[in-house]
Amino acid sequence: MGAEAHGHHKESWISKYIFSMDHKMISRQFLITAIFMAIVAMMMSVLFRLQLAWPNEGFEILNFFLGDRWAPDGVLDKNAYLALVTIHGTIMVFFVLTGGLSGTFANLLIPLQIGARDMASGFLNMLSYWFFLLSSVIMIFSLFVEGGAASGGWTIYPPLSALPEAMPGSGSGMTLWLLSMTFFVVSSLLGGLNYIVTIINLRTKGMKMTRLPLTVWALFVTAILGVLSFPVLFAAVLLLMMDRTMGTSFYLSDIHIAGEALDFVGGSPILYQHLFWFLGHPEVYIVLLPALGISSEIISTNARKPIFGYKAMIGSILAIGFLSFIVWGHHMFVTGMNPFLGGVFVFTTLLIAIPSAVKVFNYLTTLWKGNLVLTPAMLFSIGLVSTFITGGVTGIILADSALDIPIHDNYFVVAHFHVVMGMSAIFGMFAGIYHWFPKLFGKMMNTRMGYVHFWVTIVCAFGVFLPMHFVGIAGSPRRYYDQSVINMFNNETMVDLNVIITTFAIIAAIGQGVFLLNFFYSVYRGQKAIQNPWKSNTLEWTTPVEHIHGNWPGALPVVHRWPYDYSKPGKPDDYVPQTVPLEEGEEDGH
Amino acid sequence: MSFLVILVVVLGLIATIQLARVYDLTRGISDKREEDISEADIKFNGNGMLIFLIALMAFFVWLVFFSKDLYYPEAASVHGKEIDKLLNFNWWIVIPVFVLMNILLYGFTWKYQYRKDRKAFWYPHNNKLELIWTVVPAIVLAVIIIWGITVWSDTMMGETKEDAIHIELYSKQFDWTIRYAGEDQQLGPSNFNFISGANAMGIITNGTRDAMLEEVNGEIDQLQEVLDNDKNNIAIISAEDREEKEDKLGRLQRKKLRILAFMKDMNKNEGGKYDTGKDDYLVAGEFYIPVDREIFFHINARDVIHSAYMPHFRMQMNAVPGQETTFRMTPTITTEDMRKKTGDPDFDYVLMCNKICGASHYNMQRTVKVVSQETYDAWLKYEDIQNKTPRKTFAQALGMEDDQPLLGELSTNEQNFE
Repeated sequence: MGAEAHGHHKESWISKYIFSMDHKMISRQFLITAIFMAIVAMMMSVLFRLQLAWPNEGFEILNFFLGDRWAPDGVLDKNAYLALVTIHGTIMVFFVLTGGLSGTFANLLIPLQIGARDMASGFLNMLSYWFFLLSSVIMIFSLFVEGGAASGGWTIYPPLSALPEAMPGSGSGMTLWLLSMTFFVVSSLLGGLNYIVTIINLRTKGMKMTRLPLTVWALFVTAILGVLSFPVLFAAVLLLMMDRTMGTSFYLSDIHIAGEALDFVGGSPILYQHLFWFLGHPEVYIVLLPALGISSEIISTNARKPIFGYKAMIGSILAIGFLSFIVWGHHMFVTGMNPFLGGVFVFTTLLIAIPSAVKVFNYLTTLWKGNLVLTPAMLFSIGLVSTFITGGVTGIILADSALDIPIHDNYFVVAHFHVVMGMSAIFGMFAGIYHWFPKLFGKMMNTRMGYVHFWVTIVCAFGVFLPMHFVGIAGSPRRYYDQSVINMFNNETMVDLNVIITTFAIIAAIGQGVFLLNFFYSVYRGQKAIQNPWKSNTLEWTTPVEHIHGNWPGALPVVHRWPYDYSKPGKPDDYVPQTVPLEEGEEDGH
Repeated sequence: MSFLVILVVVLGLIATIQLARVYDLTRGISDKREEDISEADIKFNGNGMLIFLIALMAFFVWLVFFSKDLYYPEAASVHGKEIDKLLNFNWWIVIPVFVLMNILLYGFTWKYQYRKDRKAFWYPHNNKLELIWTVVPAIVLAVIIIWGITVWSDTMMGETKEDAIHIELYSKQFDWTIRYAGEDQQLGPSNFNFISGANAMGIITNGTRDAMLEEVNGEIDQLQEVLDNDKNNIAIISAEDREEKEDKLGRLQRKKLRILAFMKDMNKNEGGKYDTGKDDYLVAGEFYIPVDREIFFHINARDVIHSAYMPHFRMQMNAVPGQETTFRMTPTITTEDMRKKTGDPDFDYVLMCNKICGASHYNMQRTVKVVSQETYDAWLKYEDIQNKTPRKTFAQALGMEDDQPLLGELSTNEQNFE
């Protein structure tokens, strides 16, 4: 497919902006949808944090958003609290950090960084977005049904999620949740297959696998993880649907509820957990790896220094990807699973710490003796490394099944995964947006506002989650509507910690306004971008600023070197794009 | 109120638009490009990183001291002490790594700020270095793994002592029932089909089975009559109602079949299995366990997953409908001693639910008292120690002490089934 053929093709507004098959437009569509979902999920966290800091106090704002039914007199209803917690988790994990992060950056960067005209299948790519949008719409719609949205926690363990008698949120809200996730899985598979095929088949001349930018490597492994694990979630969801509607007993047995013995016999609720976490744990890395890839790229570019240990970085991505499939049991140490099996999962889980540690050391060495241009994207990438370290070390504690006994399912876990997965991934996403905004929209974002956004965000991130570890060490279980009813948590210190956390959460939410303002303002009125604003080596910066179909107006670029020739000795500039041929006797970087 | 909110939003929007205009105008004057990061900006943010590092560490240290009265008191169980040792060892690795790595990260960011006249050090890889920081974490982790798995298997596997006390923690939305074995030291069999208002745990004895059969038969007859009347046009009910009643009838008939399925086994009653539940004690309020005795907890749920969480004993185990889970532990400190140790006269051990189970999940708690063996024995024997009122066994509470198999009274249909 030549670019010429595309260039002359006149497009209608609808085919350009709505049913677009161009990867750059689809990338934007994913991003905007994810931003909208992120705002919703973030607002939810503020609402339930109000209840946690000031239990049973009335807040007009709760009544304003949730109405008399879910927040009579401004006091959050117990079921509404659980629904908020559940949907906050669901949206953040799946819609923002999976669909949003992978959808945006895989679509934008894979073709541009490997030198392809577009994705392998533009049509499947378009479908991937439309299924994503459909599942987003269903998820949002589920907030408004009778009985409220799904409320069984984002992991929706049956029997709670299977029995409408168990809680109001397990009625039609749960049905829609399952439906939404089904479409989400479809979207994710269509996208993932496309990414894999594109990376394998459409690399331009000279773009060997060992010359791929780490972003592409990360997105590649992410896509493989998704394709292998999401079908298992689909199976889990399908069986749950059957238990709910057709009277099967996959997950249910021996249940007496609402004054009646139910017919289910022979199923196991634990089976669901095995299936769910077989996706659930790789999912953590589906969320995290793209962020790590993005930060590798941004840190190297802005440190004006090659990423340290390129091959070790690839190796650790692969190792993390592989190991992520054999650790799911660490979510289930206290389910009554055979203790021997628990021991095996301790072993495999702690192994992941090794490639993770290698990545951290490599980041640090990349920064060492670099020449650091502190753009907002660079700041967010450094923030990512910090949250990855901080959240990573507590993972060592949680991976130990014996230590998991007293802290399983309490706030220590909540703090851990919010820091290591939530904050790291969202920092990676922000970094990516600031860095590739010129490529996404042909405009520049405002740098100063970027700084303000970064500082508010990182201060609040630690302000929220560092104290939360201490709430956890005190033993406070997660998903409690009101901790003060338990004597051991009913004291001044606990109240103070919760107030600190909520205060930072509110400031963080307001602080994101700076980002939104900057983002949407810059889309329309931002400074027009130049072709290679960050003096980067990778191929995406050789395309014209204005988007064109086929990405490169003439022939596809040819790649001659790895992407990290920054400050290479003997070169006049501190960067050498991948398209520059090797000089005689010059060795390819790594 | 809504009006005020809308007003604020509108004013906020106007202010934003105005700000954007001002920004537009000023940008027109200067020709600064966004990608040109000024030295002042780099310095501001680079130094900011150092300040942030100091603030982060200060915040961390402050939190450690500020929260100190929140930390668990020392573990009150044998295995809990081992877990605490392991946890403390982990802190000694985790906290220094957290501090050191963050110092390096923010320190480097501060130190190597961009300068035009400098070039970054070309350092793409160093195999030796990479080998070191693969091997060193691997060794440290090996220690953690070996120690961790040892503590884990000591806690979860191993032999149960013969004199262990068997106690059942039975959960439902949203409370716990605690069952103690009676004189025979055995917890009687139970099943969800036998649950009724009087028999919350579904303990199976001849008496509860008969009562349940009677109840089910009565309900079936009643429904059958309504449906028959409808069929014969004596009292017509709505189609919706009919469907509902037919469904319910089907469920009851299947329940009856499941109950009858126990029949054969019950009539044999080998080893008096179906008599062992009679002398069990069911406790609804706070419950007692003796100090320094091994307690074998049988953990069950009847509706959704719950979790028995007793953080002071470093104990947690999910309660899963349809499959019993267990946890063994030996409490080592009595409630009274713990009150002295913590200096809190109101201190009590607590059992919480730690798996989301519905609206009142957060308030599904029971007080646990660890007492001396004598106090425990007396407590278990007497409902009211002062008045020497004996505690009623399960069968006594139901008035079913002398229940007999009712084989002779079964209808032919039911006998055929058997």
